Amino acid sequence: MKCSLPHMGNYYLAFKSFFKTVEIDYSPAPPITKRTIELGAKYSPEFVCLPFKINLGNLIEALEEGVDLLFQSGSRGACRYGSYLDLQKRILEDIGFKDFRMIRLFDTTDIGESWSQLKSLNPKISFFELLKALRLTFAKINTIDKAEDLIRHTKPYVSKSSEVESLHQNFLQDIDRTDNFRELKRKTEKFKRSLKEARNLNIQPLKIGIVGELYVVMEPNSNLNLERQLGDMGVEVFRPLTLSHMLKDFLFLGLPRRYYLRLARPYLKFDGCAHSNISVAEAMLFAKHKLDGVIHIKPHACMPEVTAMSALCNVSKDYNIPVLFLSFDEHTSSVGLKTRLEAFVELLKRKKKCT
Amino acid sequence: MYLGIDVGSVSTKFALIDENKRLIFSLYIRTEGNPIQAMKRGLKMIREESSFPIRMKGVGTTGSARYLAGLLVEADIIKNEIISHAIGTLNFIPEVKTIIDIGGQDSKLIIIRDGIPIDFSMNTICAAGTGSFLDHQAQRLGVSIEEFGDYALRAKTKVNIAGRCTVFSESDMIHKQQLGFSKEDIIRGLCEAIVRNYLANLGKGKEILSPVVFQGGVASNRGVVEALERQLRTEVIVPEYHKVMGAIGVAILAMETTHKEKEFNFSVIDVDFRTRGFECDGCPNQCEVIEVLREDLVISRSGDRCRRWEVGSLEKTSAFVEIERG
Repeated sequence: MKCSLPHMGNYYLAFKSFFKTVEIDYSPAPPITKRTIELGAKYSPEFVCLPFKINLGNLIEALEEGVDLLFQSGSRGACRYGSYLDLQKRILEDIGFKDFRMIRLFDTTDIGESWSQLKSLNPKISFFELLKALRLTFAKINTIDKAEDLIRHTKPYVSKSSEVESLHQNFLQDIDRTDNFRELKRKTEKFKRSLKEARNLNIQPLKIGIVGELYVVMEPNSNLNLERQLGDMGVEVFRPLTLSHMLKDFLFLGLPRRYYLRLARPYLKFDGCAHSNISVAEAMLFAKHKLDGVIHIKPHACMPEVTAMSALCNVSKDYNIPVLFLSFDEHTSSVGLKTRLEAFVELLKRKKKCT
Repeated sequence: MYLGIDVGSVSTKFALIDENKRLIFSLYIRTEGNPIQAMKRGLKMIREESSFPIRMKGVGTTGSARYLAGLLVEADIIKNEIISHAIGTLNFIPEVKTIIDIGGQDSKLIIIRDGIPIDFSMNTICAAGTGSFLDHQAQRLGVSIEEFGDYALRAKTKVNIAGRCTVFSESDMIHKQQLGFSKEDIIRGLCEAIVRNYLANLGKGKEILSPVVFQGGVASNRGVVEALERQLRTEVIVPEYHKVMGAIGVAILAMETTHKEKEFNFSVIDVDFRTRGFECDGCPNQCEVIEVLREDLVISRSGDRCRRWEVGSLEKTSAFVEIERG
């Protein structure tokens, strides 16, 4: 039995070591390409969101590679994402794939169920081994996020951003090769140092924060490489939303989330589900930390983020911070995106010069 | 003298300004789906029609084909259309607070406070409420686009037409037409619908304060201007050079950046520029790469996500040689 799961950013590296430690055969889904998105869109309902389409494309391509056990993430109840697993399973069966199983990965509402399913896949596994695997996975997720954060805060300070990118690629390979905590730490330190050396701190770049729906924020293939484009324009990007951030929220029993909900209360009285309130709260924090602008991104027709948008308009007015709204689906043109980003960056530059 | 060129989807605009930011000459022609030809045609007309010797100090390009145009004339500055429009309008009406621009394929809303553009929005997915749609409907009703606005002014009754989507809008129009409403009333309903759609889409969450300036090709349409005034409940200013405002703006930007005097080379009119597209087969992404060639020399490539085809650094790679052979 060989398993796979949809992509999100570079996190497949962490899942790889998880499945390796619990001794389940895993092969990452083929990387997201135009074909993936086209396949996903072809078999998806018309008005479903982009994450659904890309996930479905990933699952189809994984099945084509001979995988017969699919994991799909998503706890129930956040938004319609919670029902994706069941719908995608039916769609895959309708397409004609047979003899595959689909399991909810890491069901936060029912941890006992997740454990017994894991046990059925590998009866030899002990609880201690699972903890060990989880610890390594979390460490890797953390490292991946830290590296990306470093890249975001290094790029505008160097003359050649392509060099930073190749350093990042090398570091990702290092992460993939290491299964040892000490080694991982050493490599991270080395990576950090090499990036710090390259920086020229005399540059004062524009600072833009990104908020929005988690998948579109975290998967560069779904947002037409928004962060890279901004980095190339010499913008320092702030993006607090990462997988490690979400895991911490889970480990601390949802306390960070409650903090955000309270912060956003002047604009959103109720929980708009998923990340809507967090988007609003983060935008407020960006404004308080004197960032120059905020970009809000969401998949087209994402209900929770549509709720956040109207609140963000008010945040923008009250805190005098410009917000650019971008909506993505599989047809989004990169030319149109570039025009908007250029205009937004130019606008912020002019605004900064005048104050 | 400084030249600004605005190459849009439907029309190509040229503006010549002097040191004092005064407009000396302007030109508005149709792009007809071929930006390179349109630019050459326009430049030729400028050369022939201008009775004075042209000493150009700087050239700027804007509009959706700004990069292509910039390559062609070796522009000193290439700027997006939002900033260009804002700069152009601020030059004529410094106290402006809101700029409404409805062009051929897109529409923009620019918010200006204290002479600085602070916010903007652009229409996203839908083409309803742009010039192309009006053009299409004018043709269908057998009215020339120049008279379209005057028809609306002659309307006697108010006809409600769905403006959310061009498809709904068109079927609604046909329906009303078959019921027996006059052309004038339907055209007025259409103008109202376009403004409603514009304000709902772009004006969402934005504070539209007067003075409001309306520009772009659709601003020539008096029916739409009146509908805007009715729905905003404020006076709407249509500047004299509203069609070429983007070109004026980028000419001013070129003036702000360049100071060297050079003879503008009108010879680009005779240079052979071509574009060539191919699908990269390096990975399943199959990016559609577009090349710009000047007399068989590739001067630019774009469209690739992985930057494999960037001009200069990659001419040597074996993949490139293979494609050249094939």
